[in-house]
Amino acid sequence: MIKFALRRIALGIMIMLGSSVLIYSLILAAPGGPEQKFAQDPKYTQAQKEGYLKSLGLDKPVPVQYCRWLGACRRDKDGLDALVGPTGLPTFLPSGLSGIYTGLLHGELGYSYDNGENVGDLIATAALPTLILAGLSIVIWLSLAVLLGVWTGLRAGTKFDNAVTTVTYVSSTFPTFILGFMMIWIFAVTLGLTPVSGMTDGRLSPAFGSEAYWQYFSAAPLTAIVDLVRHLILPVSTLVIISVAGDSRYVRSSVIDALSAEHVRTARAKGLSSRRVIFRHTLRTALVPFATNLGLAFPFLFGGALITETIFSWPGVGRLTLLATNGLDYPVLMAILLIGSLMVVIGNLISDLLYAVLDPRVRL
Amino acid sequence: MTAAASASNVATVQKTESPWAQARRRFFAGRQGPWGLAILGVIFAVVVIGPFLAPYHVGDIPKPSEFVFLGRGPSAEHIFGETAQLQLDVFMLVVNGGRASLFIGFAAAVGSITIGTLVGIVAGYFGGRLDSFLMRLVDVFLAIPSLFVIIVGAKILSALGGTGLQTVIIVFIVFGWMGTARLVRGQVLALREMEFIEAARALGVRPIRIAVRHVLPNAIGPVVVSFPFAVGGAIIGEAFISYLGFGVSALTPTWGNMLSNAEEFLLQGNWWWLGFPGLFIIMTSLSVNMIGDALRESLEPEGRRA
Repeated sequence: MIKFALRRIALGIMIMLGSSVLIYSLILAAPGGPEQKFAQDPKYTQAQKEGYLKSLGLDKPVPVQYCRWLGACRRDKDGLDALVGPTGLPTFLPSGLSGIYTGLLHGELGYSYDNGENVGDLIATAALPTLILAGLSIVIWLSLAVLLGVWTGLRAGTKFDNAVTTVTYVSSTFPTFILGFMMIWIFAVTLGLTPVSGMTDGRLSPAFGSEAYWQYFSAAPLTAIVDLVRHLILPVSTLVIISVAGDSRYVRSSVIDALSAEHVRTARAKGLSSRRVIFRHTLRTALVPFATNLGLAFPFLFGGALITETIFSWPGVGRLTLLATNGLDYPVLMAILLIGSLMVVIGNLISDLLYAVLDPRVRL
Repeated sequence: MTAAASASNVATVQKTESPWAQARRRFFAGRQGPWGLAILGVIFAVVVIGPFLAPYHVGDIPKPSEFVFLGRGPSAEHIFGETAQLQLDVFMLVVNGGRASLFIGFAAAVGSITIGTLVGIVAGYFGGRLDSFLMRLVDVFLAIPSLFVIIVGAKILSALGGTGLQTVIIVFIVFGWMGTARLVRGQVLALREMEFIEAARALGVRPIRIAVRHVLPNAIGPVVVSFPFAVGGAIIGEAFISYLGFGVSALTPTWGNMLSNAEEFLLQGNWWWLGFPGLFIIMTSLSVNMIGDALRESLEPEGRRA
């Protein structure tokens, strides 16, 4: 088991390195960049331009630049010396050991081109609203999926099953943003039951996440939470409706498979009560593949709500991404893509390990 | 219950029908496949024939009998209503936008599936270091959240000067081939060990010929199944990134561009400008999903889930 886990972790690290190279090359191919600022300005002499590029390290070959960005090379040394930190240990080790504080590996994500803010802070601010929206949706949709899946799976072939299966089939093919528009049109515009978009009511409170907001929140927590919930209704329902369909069908088919398994037939033949057969023998086996899929929901917490956030102007990671893309704010984009892939890799790792724990045949 | 019944069916007809004929029969015997094809056919007909039937041209700025800033709802003259501001005919926009959207969907699907199939066959058939390199590449591409990287890629390409349909198609191909590659590789790995391949090898058939003549036709089933899903994914993806303004230039009507323009007027009550392209996107998505599921059931009956 330990060997299996270590191998998966090593593979994960390799994939992360690979995706950092891919993201770096993508941004290298992009137009713009620091030297563009002065390209057209006759006031700057050639020497000044070169000095500026040199101060940013842009005179070095691309692999060296990448290595420095990653934090595996020191920025004040060249050649093989760059790989050893002031403490004499390799630079890729954590700051406490290597004495190096620059680069991704040491948590330095850079500064926004747009407003000079620390990228880490920007993302942390945007991550909380996304976490609230995505987290709440995941909890609701997974419980609903298990409930619906088991319910329809146990009644496969009945009218009720057909109705639910048809509805979930159609809703699973709906594009998220179209469903979002429909929700806004029906519930916010026509019926006026919920706010159209946003996370807080601008007339009631300061923008979410600011200091002023938390002061307001602690002064009147109940009003603040009610306001938040009102704004959560539409985006959460959109995410739940879209996502519950696929998962409930998945649970349904594994329940059907489990019902026809030999051990369930044996349990029935032994004369066990049908409640016991269902809960002890059927659901236990049926829900194993579903449980292992939970790891795959992990990256959703960071980037899964991009579309929904856009439609409902939710101030999360999705909106930060769009702002950064619009302004070609490369440090922010690189950080978002990297954190996103880190979440995917970790999610896959969790899922693989869970699978190996629950089903020992997997550890090949 | 039906699985057992159709399995015995298959066993009796196997002697007379080729596998493809069987698959075709199963496809048309179900409900999903024909209905999906019918819906997609209607969409195609509207999109292709529509421009000839309508009395308007998409580039014309209309001179409406009455100026209404929000546009007017569906009427006999404008069956899908008028847009706000310029009072363009929504039907004409849907029809012309559909042409771009469907073209993008099919081109992106063909491109990404072709590349994926090639990579999968090479990786699976030749194996070894090449295989592990290609599969790690797939892992890396799959690790980056696709929607994010598609948006960034489309923005970068359009900032470099490409604002046409090809920008969107290229981005979808570059970030869309991995699933097929993995799928085909798995198929090829299983096929490679089969006796008829071994027999071909023993007869001295060249590896390229084995790959093309013997492996490819047998590995193609799941690829065919994934094609409609890829088309649907690309159409929805295009609509979304055009809605965000990173896709096709706003001057070319696509369903996504229409949504983007119409969104602000939805809140004021103009639902038809956004509703009709939205309806067409939903119908396209639903029909390609139905076709895909029907194909899966007819091509891989043994892998069918209840």
